[in-house]
Amino acid sequence: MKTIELTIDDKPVVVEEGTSVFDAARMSGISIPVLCHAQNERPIGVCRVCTVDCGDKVLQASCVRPAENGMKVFTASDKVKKHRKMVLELLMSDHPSPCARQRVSGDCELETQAAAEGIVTPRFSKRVSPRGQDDSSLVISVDHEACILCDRCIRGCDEIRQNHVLGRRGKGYNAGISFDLNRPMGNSSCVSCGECMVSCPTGALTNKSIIRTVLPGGEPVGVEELKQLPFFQKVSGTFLELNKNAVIKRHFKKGEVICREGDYGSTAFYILEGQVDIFLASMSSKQAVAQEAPSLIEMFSNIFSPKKKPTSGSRTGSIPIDATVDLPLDNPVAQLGAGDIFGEMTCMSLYPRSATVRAKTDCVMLEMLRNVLDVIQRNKTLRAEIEKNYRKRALEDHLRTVPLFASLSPDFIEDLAHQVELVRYSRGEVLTRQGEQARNFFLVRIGFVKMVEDHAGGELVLAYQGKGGYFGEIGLINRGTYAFTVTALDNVEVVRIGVDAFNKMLERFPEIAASLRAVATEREAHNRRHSAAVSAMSLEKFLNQGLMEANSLLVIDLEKCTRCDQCVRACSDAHDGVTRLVREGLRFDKYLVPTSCRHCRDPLCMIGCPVGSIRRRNSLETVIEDWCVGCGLCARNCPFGNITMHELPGTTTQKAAVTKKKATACDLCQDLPEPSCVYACPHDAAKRVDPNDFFKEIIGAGTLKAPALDSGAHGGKR
Amino acid sequence: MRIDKTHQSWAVVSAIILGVAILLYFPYAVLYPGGPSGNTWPGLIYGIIGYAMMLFAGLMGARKRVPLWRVGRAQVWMRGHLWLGALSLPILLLHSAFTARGPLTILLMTLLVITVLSGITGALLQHFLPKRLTASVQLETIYEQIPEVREQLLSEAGGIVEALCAVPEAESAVVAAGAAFGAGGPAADEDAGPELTDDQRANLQQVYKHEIFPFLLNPEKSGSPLADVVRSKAFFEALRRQSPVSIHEALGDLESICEEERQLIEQRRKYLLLHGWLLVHVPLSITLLVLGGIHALVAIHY
Amino acid sequence: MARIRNTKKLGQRVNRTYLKRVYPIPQWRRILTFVFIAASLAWLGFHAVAHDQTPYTAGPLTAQHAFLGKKCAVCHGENVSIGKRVADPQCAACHDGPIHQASQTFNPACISCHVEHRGTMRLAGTADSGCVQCHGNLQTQTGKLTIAASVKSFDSHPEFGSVVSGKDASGLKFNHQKHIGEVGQKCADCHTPAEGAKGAPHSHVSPRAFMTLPTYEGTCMPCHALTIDDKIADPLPHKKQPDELHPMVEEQFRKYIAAHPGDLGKDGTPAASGAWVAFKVAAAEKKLQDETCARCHAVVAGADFASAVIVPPQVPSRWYTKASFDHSAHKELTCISCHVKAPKSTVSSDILVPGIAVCRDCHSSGSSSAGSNCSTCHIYHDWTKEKPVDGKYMIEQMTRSTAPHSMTTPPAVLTPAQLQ
Repeated sequence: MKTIELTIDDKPVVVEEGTSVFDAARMSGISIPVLCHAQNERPIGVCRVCTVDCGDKVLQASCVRPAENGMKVFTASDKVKKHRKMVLELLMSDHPSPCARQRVSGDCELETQAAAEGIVTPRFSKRVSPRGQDDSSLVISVDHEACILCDRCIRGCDEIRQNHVLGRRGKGYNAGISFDLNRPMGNSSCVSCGECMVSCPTGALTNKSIIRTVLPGGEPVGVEELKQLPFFQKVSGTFLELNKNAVIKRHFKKGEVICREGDYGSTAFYILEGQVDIFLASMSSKQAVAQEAPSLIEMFSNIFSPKKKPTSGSRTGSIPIDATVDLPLDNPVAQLGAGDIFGEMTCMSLYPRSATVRAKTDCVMLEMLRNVLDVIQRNKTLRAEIEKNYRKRALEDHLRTVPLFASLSPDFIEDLAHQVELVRYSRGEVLTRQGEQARNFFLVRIGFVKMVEDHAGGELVLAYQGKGGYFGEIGLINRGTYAFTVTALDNVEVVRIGVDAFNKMLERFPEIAASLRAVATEREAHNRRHSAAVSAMSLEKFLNQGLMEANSLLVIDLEKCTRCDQCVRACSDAHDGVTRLVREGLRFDKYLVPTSCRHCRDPLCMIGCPVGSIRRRNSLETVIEDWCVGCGLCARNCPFGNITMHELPGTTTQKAAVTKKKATACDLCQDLPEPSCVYACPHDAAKRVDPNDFFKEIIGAGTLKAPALDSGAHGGKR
Repeated sequence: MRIDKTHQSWAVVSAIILGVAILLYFPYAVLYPGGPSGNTWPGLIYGIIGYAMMLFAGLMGARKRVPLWRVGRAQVWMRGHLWLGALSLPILLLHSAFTARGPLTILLMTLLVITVLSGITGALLQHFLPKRLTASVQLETIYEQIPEVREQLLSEAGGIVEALCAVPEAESAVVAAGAAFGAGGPAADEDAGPELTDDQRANLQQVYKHEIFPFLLNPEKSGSPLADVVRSKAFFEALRRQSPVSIHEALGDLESICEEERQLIEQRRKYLLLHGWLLVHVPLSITLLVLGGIHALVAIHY
Repeated sequence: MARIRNTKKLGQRVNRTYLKRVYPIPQWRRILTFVFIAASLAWLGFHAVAHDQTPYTAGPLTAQHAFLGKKCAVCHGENVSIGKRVADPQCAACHDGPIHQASQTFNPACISCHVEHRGTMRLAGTADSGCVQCHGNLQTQTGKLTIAASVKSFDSHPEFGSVVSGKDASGLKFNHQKHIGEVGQKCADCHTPAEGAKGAPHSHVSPRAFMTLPTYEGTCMPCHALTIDDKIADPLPHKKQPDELHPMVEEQFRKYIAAHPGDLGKDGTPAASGAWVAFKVAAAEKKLQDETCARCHAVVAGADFASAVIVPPQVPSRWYTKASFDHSAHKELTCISCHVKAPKSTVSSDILVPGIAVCRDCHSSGSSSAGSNCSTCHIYHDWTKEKPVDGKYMIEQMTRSTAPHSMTTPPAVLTPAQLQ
């Protein structure tokens, strides 16, 4: 990539080619005022507030002006300031100050900037044709008068949510935003996701306060209070107002555990006061259940109370993770203080909490849902900050929990943490390619990878590596090439250790070297044995259907199923007459995988929910809280069609009373001990299973589960 | 429900109950003055047990109406239904001392025998048929949805044929435009539809109109060659020979639509078999329960 | 553009409200259920309206009771109670059932033996199990058991009482061997079934099934006439003691000599009529006492003939006193096939009725048996103690189906109003 050099306000800056002047300034710490350019949207340069002097004939809107080599940019010269003030004054002359947003949360961007420029009463007269208000939507009130035609809402609707509802209407003084072909908002195809009003810099689109997000156990925080915090400064007040209670204040006593390792969650914490300790603790290992032949008496009792098979961790609220190192609970790994944020890893990656956090002193926290975090991260400066924290913590945490590194000294880990990288791969990306020179050692932190041996006739999947798995050691130890091609199966995060750091580690800790060598030998032998045994067809199908993604999969044994539809009926009865299960889908072996939520390990559905209502509580199950606004994004995101939008009756008892639709997906009948579909199956055909356990025999024993749960399979136990 | 190893305990318990009932019957039949009959105390007890079994079996239907009630897993009920239902016949035969003389009792015994026999038939069907259904109908859908799916298949096939035949002006215009601009040429070519001569197009339309469309519209009735696997294969083979290679993939789609239709026919046939027996079993069993109740009341009365 | 088949597409092609619609199979199931139940209830209702309770009967009634078929309550009563059976008083309204034996330890209910609703079977065809209840383990009020403590079937039945006694104590002298062998008589010459004789009431044994006792007049007299003299044709009457016969003998001779005075003194007889009579009487009476009467009867001699006594024979009219044997049911057999000893019996003390072993030749237990139920031979009720039953019903009551309730407790006198 070519780089270019330029100066901004006499400060030399180097950026990649194609960077806008606005971004170049941002990266060098210079902030340029802007209205129409939201950082998470494509710049269009209509408001001209970000106008700068690039040495051109006329002043340029910095958000759309690409930086050029040798360019001299002035962002705050008198000429620029004068122009900017004029633009703001012209915008203000039309603005019904104070607008709805200014009145409610006091953060109308136009009015804030105008005030900063000292504009009180514009010299120009108001436009003649009032554009009016639109109160038809039950969720959002539209004040066309306050609209500055920045198009942020239109881009939000199109680009971020891809709903394509908003557009422009009219010309000249009558220009404004329109829903569909200029219909009242309430009658349009708007799904009320709220993105437009979150994007809006002024009070043109404001919230009618109807979403009742409920995060338990805290007290509400006012928008003003939040806006005081640097962390929330860039977040739209409309959004905070809309998602009242998506951020709550919680108090923790000294010694209280705030979140526990292994728990699932959907919230992040921001420390207002006090300090916390972060620990790593080991999780209990899997318990084997011996099966014996039933005695006659047991047979009798079996009839009336069939033995409950021990279900996998999904019901107990924790899943066994691979950490077999037992760090003492009172040995703090890290401390965080006021202004720090934690828990964002779980919130963003949707994986279990990787550490336990306990209050060191009495603490005050802000707990927030993912949607808040999402919006915060739209500001790229803040986002970079969070990412940095995340990577640092993720790395350190991970290195400490890998059994392989149990014998490493803490100082070496500290040292190692600086030499390794946390790298993300998305589905289908290749991590290592068979035959390439081995340069790195990989530790899987999140997600699944498949290890494939390339053959002339095609590829042969040898194994899957989940969290805690590692690869690359064969090539590194032999100083040769990678032995397999490794591909990401979903969103994967790996810790990448370079060859130098790796060798240094082996030198200093010969026992690690020894165990790695043993693993390498074992693995090669295993692969040779395995090559013959695996039924490649089933595996391929298993992968293509995304079954390994699932935590809890509904399967119907088609050789037992009489197609009586009792499962569907039960589901429908359990959920107000709308079934969340459709007995239709692809087959795997003799099993039908019907349309019903799989509670994925890496749930795509949760990404982008504007109100954070689709989330995990403390366990694996994906739940849709009833503050869902029915925007349909999760249903579109789900690759398996397991989320459906269904029309709500016009009742007011729902917490989101006036939304037209609501997303529904299998909730595993949370309040009941067993999902109704399984309970109601008269033919012993429907089951909720962990696919990796359940299909072990079909897809080849030990391929999937070995790395995920049994990290010792390749030598950890010796 | 598939009868497999998991039924072992039920089978053992049922066999024990049946054995005990039969063993007790012999001394009762020999020793009881006046001989065995439904109106002796032992006979009455057999009757009560037998009716209770029938009632339990009958409650299966009620249980299905309230799938949410946590009154035992449905499959436990199903096992009970199968085994106790079957057991009710021998127990009630012992109750009646293998005779039925009154009009009502003759009717009851007839109903019971038919109900149990139909139940056994159904159990056998449910044991064997799902496996065959699974094997023979790979593209299964929900039975109730078959009409909808057929409509979708019909419109899908219609769409394919329409796309194949709707070439002339629009496309040639695009090609012309692409040629005019020079640069757009390759893109336009890729988007271009299959090149069919007018004859081929007319032929395809004819074939669709006279063979494929009627079959898809009413697959169960028509004696179309497409309803038969071998003839359908030959049909599409012939069609492919008459058509350029560029549309072979689309023809393959059409063929797979027909294949799906055939499987749906097969599914419907097997489904009707799998559920049809209930038309005998359910009404008769409910009638049996009602009349059995009346019989019990009258018997207790007199 | 190969056709894509993935989970999402498959799930979305389904109309999720399909469960709310009604489909043919469940609908027909409902319709058929309704039809079947409605039909059967209509059937029952139709009978109920007609006050006809036939559908509920446990089986067809015997012919004698068949007319009661529509009115269960006549026998079963009206009151609802679990396990209620037809009580004895209900039967006693029409039938008397005398007890079995005075010393029986308990009195079983009528229905324990008389089982109804078994079609045309005999009501009295009681199963052995009923008898074996007691006779399988007999208890008496005195605690003494004289014959057998346990009879469970014909196989364990004791020998017949008559046979056990071993001796015919009738006192009549009769030589079967002489009559059959020398004279050449047939059994039926003397032993014939009774004509119009009365059988035991309520017995299935026909009145003609028993052999009547041979009488002197009907059987013996042709050969063994009681004549006293060659010249006097009139025989003496039978069944008279000597004291009655003496005047008759005297009278006969007196009449004769009065009519035939020529015979006086003839053949060395006295010539005086008084002496002649006395002479003749003495001779005749000696012959009577020593030959004519003594041939069959035991005669106890006295001072003279008139004071002698003829011992009346005690011939039993029935040998199987507790059972009813039916000769007519065995008429295809020859007499001697059972009465084996009869042709060779020279003395009348021989027991000629067959013993139980002979019966068991045919009436053993087992499938090829000719039947050996208790009721084949025995009758439960002691009909000698039968009390008369007064009829209480009118024909209308018995036959009309519309007035079932008035029958449960029959009124002593039915008023015409009640009959309406």
